Amino acid sequence: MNQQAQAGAKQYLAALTQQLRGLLRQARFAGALHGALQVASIIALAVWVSLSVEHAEIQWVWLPVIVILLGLRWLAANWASATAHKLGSAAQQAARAQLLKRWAEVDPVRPQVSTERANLMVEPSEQLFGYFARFLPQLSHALVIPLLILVVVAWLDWIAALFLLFAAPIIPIFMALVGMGAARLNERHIHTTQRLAGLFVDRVRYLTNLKLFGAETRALSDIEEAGDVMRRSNMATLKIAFLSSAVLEFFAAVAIAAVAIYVGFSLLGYFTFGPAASMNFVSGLTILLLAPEFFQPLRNLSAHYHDRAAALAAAGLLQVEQQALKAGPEAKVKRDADSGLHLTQVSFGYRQKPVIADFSWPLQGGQIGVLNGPSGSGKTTLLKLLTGQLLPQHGCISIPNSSHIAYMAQEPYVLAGSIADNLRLVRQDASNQTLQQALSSAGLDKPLDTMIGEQGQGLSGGELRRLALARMVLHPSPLMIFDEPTAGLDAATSQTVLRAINELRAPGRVIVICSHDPAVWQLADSLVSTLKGPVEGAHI
Amino acid sequence: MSSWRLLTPWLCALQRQPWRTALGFGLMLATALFGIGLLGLSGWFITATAVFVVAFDIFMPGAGIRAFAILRTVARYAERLANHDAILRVQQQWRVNLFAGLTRQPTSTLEKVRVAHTLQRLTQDLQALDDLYIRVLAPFVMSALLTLLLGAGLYLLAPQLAWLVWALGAVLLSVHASVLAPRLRQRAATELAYSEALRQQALDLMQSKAELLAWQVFTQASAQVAASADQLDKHQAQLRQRLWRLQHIVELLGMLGVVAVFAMALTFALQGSFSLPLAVLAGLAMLAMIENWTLLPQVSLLWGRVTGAAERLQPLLIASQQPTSLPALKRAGAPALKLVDVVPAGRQLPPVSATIEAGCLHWLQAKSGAGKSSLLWCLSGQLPLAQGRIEVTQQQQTQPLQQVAVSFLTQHNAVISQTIAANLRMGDPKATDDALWAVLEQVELADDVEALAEQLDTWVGDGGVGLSGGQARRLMLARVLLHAANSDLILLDEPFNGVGDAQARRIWARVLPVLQAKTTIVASHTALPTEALPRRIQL
Repeated sequence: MNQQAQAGAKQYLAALTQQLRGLLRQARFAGALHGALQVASIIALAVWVSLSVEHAEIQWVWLPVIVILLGLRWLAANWASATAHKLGSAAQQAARAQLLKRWAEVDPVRPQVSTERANLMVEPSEQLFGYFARFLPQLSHALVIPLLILVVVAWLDWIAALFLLFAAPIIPIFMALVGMGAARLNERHIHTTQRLAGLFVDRVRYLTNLKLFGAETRALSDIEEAGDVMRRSNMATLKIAFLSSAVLEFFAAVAIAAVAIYVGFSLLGYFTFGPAASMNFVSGLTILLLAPEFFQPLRNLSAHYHDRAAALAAAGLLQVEQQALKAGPEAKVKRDADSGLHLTQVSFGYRQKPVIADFSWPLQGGQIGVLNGPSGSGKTTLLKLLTGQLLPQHGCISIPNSSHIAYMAQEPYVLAGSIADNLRLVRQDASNQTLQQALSSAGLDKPLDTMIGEQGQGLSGGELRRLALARMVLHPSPLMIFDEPTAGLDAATSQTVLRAINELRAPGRVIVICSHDPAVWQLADSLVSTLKGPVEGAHI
Repeated sequence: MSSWRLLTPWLCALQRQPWRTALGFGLMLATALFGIGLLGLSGWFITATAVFVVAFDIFMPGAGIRAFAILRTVARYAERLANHDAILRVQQQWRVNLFAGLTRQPTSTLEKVRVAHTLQRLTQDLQALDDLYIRVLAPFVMSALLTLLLGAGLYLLAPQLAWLVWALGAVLLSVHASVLAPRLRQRAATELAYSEALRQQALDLMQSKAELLAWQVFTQASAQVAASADQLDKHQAQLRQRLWRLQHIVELLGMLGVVAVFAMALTFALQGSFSLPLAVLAGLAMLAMIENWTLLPQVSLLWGRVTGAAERLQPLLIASQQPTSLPALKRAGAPALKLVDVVPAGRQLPPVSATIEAGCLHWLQAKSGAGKSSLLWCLSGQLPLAQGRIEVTQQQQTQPLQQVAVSFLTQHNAVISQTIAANLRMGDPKATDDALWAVLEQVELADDVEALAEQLDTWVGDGGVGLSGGQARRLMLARVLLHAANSDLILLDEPFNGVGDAQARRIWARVLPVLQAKTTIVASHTALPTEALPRRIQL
């Protein structure tokens, strides 16, 4: 990730953190309370055991205290987890809501592939969870709980506290040093690793082609070799990376050992200076039991550190999607009360490659304009411009003023629900009778309550197309667009569609059709085959 | 199918390196034991110093504590290295096995796998399996073994203590293994279904954006996506809630266990069964044990994910009865083909009948989506027919289609991530560098390649130099031209996609001689850039 992207990702996370600060405060508080009860229950346990040993009799009065503290600790643990997870979920939800809001707006000039954009809804949004639910709360626990323990230990014996105090800052410093080494090593390997990581997926993607050339054995050995190289390169990085956690483990273990030995020798009376002289078994055992707890939050934090890395990567992707609109051009689309559709010197292109250049196309009310350009001629772009998904880079588009544009897509959008639900999507207040009429004029002979599954399951391609046609009949508008209305249809259905389109022709209404089908061209008042330059002599 | 049967093919790779697995596992166990030892011995030491009930060499335990502290760190470091090395080896073996299984799949399955979404699913499933050893099997077995060992140690002090630890451990382990893991497996499967539904709906929304914006119903439609996201979120929240609730319960039970062990051990010690320091050691060893048990809920959850992934990958591992690959075929003269009512498998298209003459150039003309590509796949012998037949005559003899040496330029640019030379040598493994340059010259790619720093050894595809659509197409054409030298039937699917008209015409003029005396079918929605009149097949 380059620096700019990293800054963007951090900015995204910071904005989200700011938005969720109330929940974060709650999660931090709950976590601190849990930590405090954890410390309290450990102290109670140590006191109970040491008093029992000192008095040579089990101090049963302490038992209910310990059990109650353990119960409270359990409740606090549940509360801490509940708040932390609520925070994580809220972050995920906020990211998704932002995406949906963003998607409803105009697209950037060069949007990513739809699959990649749709994926933002799933993995990247989920990756924010760990950062908010685990890493952020843990970040404050890693400070608060050791401090609390340090205070308790210092109160019992300040020399023992020094052991912990010295170990604590050394650990992050060493971890950071080792971490930097690992990062440098990783950078050296990153190119090779990237190359090899995709190798397997790549070979699977093109397996049919490999088979055609009889090259699958070669591919198999490629995968095997890549795995070997990848493992060696990964291990070289891991050897350094694991050192960082080994440093943590080492200091934690050594500090515990040092505390144990210090306490033991103080109790034996070998140390006679300072607080060591007055060390008793109760404080000794308490200190010993608190020592591992002192390091535990730091260990947890380092375990959650990858949550941060994952969230940064995800935030980078999400940030790019959110930013996109700022780069968009000014709107040059007019909604004019006058009937008719007027494109005036419209240009649009991706990366200096013009798709639509200086294109002018005037269509009056009552006219049908047909675009029959080959695929790749900019048809999709034109439709996106007309519907407001994209904005023209030059020129002006003037469309009739209306609440909506009636649009029949080549692959119509279907909701999982009944046919009636799908029709009411475009006109909520329509009565069943109106819906039935629209269906029959579109030639779709199906009951209104027929259920359609995800992606139109239950209806054939032709039936889906007629469903889309029924929408057109149900809710016409001054501008109606048909995208390949007859593609893949049999002759009879094709005729139904053409008849329906012709019947929709009305004064004050412009119909635009994109089609490769010569049968459709016959409807045209204006036939266009290229989106470059003004329309000349296209009028029939 | 039982989970173990599903996992067998994946576990085989572990068995192949028993020593590495054993070493990693041994180190893992040692790390945990040293941890228990460190806390236990420390407790024993300070109690012993406090109560003076036993005489001991006071420097021995100090040395022991230091040794445990250092050994634990070293063992942990070595364990992580050993296990990651083992798991990387296993992953490599898995990929090789999976790929070998995939090569035996019929083309229709592979074409499905080629789609980005399925490919992503496959990669994610493989990644999920990575947890099988390190995060599922090893921690579970470790927990069980440590419970046994800790109990055995305590048995030496008092059998009652051992039974307490064994009973608690047995309850935790068996509840996780028998009740929770299967339930969480179902929940993990539902989670995946929900997240796939969300992905699909988001994709539908993006792809229908123009339509939805036109109707001014984008917000209504996106509400459905929001509802799906909500459904997934709720489900995940429930799943996570179960996980942390379990973890906290295990922790609470463990702590109560610690209190019980202390109470019992202190009672026995005060009765004189053993010394007080040993009683403290017993309690602290139990305290150190808890963190091994709190791993169990996570193990159950991951078990669900791992078995789910194994279940989805299972069909890809099974070899089909289909011919696996094209055997190297010798040239036997240009074939004549007769297509009778041919319908390619998996497509609902009108039947095609056509006659393809030996040694001639044919133009398969149709709109996109009319089934040109499917028909070529059938002619390549890789896609079965749903109906009809293809009759092949080669030198007046009837031949099965599979016996014809065929070269096929597919519609997609299959640029393999490898060097340019390796991409070309797929067409002819024995081709010399000179031959490669010659064929690059034919497709007007030689200058472009010469301009690259590593020339023929330049890495292309993922993680390499990016080729433009036209360059990639010409590279693919060059590969097929190398292959065509040893073939009788040449199939070209939109050979000049993304290549400019003038360039296409020049290249075609150089390609034509190669096609002499071969049966060639070119599928194209536009006319061929040629003066030679091809025979037309209209779909």
